[in-house]
Amino acid sequence: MTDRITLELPALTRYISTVRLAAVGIAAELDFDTDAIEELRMGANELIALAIEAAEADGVERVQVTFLVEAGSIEIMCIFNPASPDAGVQIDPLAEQILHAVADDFSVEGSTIRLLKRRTNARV
Amino acid sequence: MRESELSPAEIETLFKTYHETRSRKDRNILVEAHIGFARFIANRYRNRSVTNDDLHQIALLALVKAVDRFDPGNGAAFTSFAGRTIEGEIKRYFRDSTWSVRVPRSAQELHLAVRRGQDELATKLDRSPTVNDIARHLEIDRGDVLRGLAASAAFSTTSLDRSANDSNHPAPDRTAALSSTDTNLDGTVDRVLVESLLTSLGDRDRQIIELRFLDELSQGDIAQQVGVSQMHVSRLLRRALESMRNQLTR
Repeated sequence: MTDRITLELPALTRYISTVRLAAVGIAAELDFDTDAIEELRMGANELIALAIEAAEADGVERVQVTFLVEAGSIEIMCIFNPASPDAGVQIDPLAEQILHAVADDFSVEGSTIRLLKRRTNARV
Repeated sequence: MRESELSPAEIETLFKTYHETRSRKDRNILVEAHIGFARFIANRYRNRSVTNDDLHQIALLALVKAVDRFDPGNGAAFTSFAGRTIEGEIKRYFRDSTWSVRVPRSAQELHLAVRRGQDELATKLDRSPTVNDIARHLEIDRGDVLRGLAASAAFSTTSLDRSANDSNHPAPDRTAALSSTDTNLDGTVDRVLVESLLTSLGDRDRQIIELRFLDELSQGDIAQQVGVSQMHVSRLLRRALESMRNQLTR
């Protein structure tokens, strides 16, 4: 079963910590170990910061963040331009390197940036 | 942009701006400006059980954390703060960390308790503990565990100052054990024994061990091949090696 949690936030950097906090809270609820929680925190930070930056560039005022929560994993989807699903974003090398290191998977499709983090003791 | 292109005054100004705006562009410039510094520190721990690429990756992540957490208003130099953070993360990577930086007392006490609980449970459970594990173990609220963990920017480097080449001061036990496994896999360890130990592992763990030590791939490359994060590969490797070692000494 997948639980879906959605936040809609002003595209302002001051709300990055809100998303980080939500991600960490959900991971703790799922019994992620502490290393994985720290990695998810960094990944969520990168994801929402990228989304806010892209929203600003497109003149969009609000971003959507959805957490798809399963027993052994959390997927975070940030939609930075809901009105233009095809709007793309360029991920810079540093962000890509960070996401590669901390996320089990990440992708950009149009105006949606996704990140997947599995619980360490979950099977892949 | 490289470190030499920014003057100390420009870096200080940029930190103040970043502290207020949290702009990724400023963050990236600050990280880029100190990447050489991070690698310099990481290189002191070469020739242990991880590849240079992996070591640099850990240092990079630690540098990003340091840039995020640095408060330009507290008077300390960034390089001093970042140096501790990077060394702390590397040391933590080798599972051997303690405090060295002053933090508010209550946070430090909470962090110490949480870190101690984390280490005790890691040994007892043979895996990284969850927040709930630590909360139960310490009989404290889960929120307090998270608060304690949040203060994790500054880990000690007490015994980390020795260089990787310093034979008079060998690496910490766990690292030494891993290093020994690493260097011996190729030659002196009886291959039949290693193969039998490998069969005691699950399919995924065996695959990761083979990719790392037979194919000599970096953790980053293994992560891409297996479809998990590099940090996850690091934990799986550590656990698999410990499991093999336990089988050997049983």
